[in-house]
Amino acid sequence: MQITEISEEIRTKFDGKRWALPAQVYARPLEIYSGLYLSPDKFVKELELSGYRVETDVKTPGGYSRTGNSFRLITRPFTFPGGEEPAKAIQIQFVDNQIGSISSTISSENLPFVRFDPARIGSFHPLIHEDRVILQQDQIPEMLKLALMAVEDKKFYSHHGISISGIARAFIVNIKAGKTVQGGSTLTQQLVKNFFLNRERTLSRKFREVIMALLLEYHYSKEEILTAYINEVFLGQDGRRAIHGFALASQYYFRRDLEDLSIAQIATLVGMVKGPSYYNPLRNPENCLARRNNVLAIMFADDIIDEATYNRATSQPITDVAPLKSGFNRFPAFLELVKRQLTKEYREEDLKTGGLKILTTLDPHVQLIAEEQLSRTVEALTGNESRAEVEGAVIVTGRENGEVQALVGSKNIRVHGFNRALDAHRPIGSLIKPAVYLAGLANGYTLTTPLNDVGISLENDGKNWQPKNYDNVEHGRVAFYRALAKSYNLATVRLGMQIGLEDVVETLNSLGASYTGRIYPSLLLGSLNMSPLEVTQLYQTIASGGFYLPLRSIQSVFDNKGKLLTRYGLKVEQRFPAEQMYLLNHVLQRVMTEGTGDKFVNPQQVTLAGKTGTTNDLRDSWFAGYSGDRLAVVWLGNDDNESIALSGSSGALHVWGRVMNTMHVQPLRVPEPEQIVWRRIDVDTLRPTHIFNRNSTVLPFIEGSLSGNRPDGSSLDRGLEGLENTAREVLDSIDDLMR
Amino acid sequence: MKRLFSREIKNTSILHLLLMATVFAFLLNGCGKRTVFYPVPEEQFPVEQQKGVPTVPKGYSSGPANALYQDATQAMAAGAFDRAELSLERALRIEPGNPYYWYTMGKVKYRQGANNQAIQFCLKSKSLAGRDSKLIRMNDELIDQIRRETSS
Repeated sequence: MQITEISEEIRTKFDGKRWALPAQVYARPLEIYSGLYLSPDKFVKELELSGYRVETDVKTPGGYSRTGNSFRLITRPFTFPGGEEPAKAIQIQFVDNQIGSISSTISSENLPFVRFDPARIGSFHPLIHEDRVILQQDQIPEMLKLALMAVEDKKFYSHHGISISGIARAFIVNIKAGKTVQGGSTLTQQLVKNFFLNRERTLSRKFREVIMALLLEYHYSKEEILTAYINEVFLGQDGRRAIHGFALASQYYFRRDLEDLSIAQIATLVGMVKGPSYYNPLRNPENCLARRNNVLAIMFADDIIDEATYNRATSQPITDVAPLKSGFNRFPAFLELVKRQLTKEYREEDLKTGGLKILTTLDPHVQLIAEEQLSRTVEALTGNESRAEVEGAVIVTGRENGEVQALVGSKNIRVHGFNRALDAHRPIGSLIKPAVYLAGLANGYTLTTPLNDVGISLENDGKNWQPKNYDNVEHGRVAFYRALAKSYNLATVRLGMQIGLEDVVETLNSLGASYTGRIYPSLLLGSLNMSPLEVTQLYQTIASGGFYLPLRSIQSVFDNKGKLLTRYGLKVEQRFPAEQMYLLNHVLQRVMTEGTGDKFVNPQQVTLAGKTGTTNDLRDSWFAGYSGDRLAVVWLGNDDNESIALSGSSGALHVWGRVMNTMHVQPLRVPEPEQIVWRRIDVDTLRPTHIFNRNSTVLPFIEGSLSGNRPDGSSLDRGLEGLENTAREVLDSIDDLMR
Repeated sequence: MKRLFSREIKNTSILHLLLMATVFAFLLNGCGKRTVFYPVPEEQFPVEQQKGVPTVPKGYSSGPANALYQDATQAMAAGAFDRAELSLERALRIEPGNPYYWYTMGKVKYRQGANNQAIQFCLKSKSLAGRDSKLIRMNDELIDQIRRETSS
């Protein structure tokens, strides 16, 4: 091969590799404030995930100490879209499972809230099992460069890529020993070996290495070569993840940024270059200690450190922390969602080499709960029976902002395979019903409009279709609200046919679906396929009171210079009137107390709302529901579309319930629009009744719907219940005042 | 605090009847008109023009979210609307049901020139405002103002 060809190859590869900065992905930052529900143990988990380390005396960012329910720590600085959040030395006092107080360790002043640096949860690296944190020239500590050169290549700044004297010395030593005990390679040659060559040890490969080293020096400055070396060198293995570069090694072995390392720690890493496995501080601490002290001795001999520093450094232990088993690519299902959203706007190339910094909405605390509860509940539900192949997905979002806090694509969290949360498109069953009933409310139905829950025969997609109820019983004349709460199929089909299928599909799409397929009656019972993510979008609109909120998994994207490129801010769009949504929300709350969701155990005693979904032959089990602060959607099913013998109520609801109960959730309180009035209704006659009627219930109505314009022609006149209503409002107001 | 009275009155007790009677007496005493018990916001709200200490709507403030809300109003006063938006988003994460924060978000969007979003945030605020007629009016005024400006 010609020199010019090799030269070209070097330039192409070196430029490419040097600038291959994989996008780094971060979780949402933890924000703590007095009153926040968070247990001290969960807090420790968050700190661990962000790579904080336990220290007895906290002195540098990233360290923390815990005494019972009291913490002292120093946060790390981090750049957010609004600017840099500086490091803060703080003290936190927990009271039970809540944050009691936060104060500055320095000024003792109380702090209203503190925002932490977020955990790094992954990167989009070209090679899946490689990880590195890339440093720029000016970010590399001088001490590291000096130590590295002293040990590996004393004449780095004076040679032209190879060192003749080095090779000669190594040659003599090796001849004397009868085997290879010393390498004569310069840092440049080592870099060439890492970058361009395979591991074979032949004379021609050695020759090529020398030529390439000379060419590299010819084309690039010493600083560029040294920087590339420091970013590239292999320093160990964490399971399947290869640890490349000093910056990542520093985080992995010491839970510190490179600039925060002590001299002893720098010496440890420099010593490991010779043999990352043999000198591994975890597996071979004795070898590592001897090697580190050897490095320190060289540094002392070369006047890089003085005697006092040398003595102090050699007396220190190798490491004071367990290695950082980081959240690196720990949440592959969520990362996939992030990647899919990013690739709509960024080129794949930019993600892998552009050095982007991506701040996401993932809440590690919620994610871990969702993961654990899905696999544990599925196991508890299926045991060792034939249903063992039951799979599932869970998505949790913020009710009023659409931020995806957790996304689980399988009960086997570690297995990075089929992402059911995004890719399992399954019939949604009764989850479609709120859309049918919402279309009904828009067409003038009230919560007491009677519906006929009796058999019906329809032409469906060219075939005769006779839907049945889940319990195979016809319930006759039922109130609108009850038919939805109890999820009666026949009443729903009749309602949908009365309103018109087009209206229902239009409502469905306004809620956030994008159904463009053929329109036929069985759609009314959810015969259309949707993924859990699509269902979440649908229920997001319901949960947020009729406001469409595009689901977001990314908060912002920065370039490699720290400049904000894109911010994905909060967006809302009203799609349904607040009054109709208020009525729908009321019924979905009844689902949890008297409908298909009443099996939910509610230890926190909070108001919640939701809907079950079950498909033919119990193939899919769905539940979508929300609290005051969160929406969660759960799907259970079999990848082969076999029956799992679980309904929405006997399957997905359990997972949902456990996820909700493990988190601290806020009760759902939907503010009552001005036009809402409450009436007591006899549950059999569906007529207004008096307060002494025990067979009655109080329901909300839209003010104008009270007289004349109900589809069934009946009207609700204001009688004794009118007075009761006013009285109730006053009582409520007193109640509000006393709260 | 747990609600004293649920929507559904299942057991009609003597105590309840007594309470009802008291309430009727209360009503007959000339208080038949609906009484608004929601906290009344400060006269000056919103406060982005006001330098120094911003006013906090009574009853709607909780420590941490309010601190962020104050950040937002200060940023607005300084014309830093993007920063105000960020602080409000954080405040809303803590207190998503606070209609004043949503209204202020509408203000921010209006100042950013995102008129459509400004109107939408006002609608959101209204949907959470319950019977706070003053806040509803403030939202309506901003919506009207935007519509007037965009139509002319």
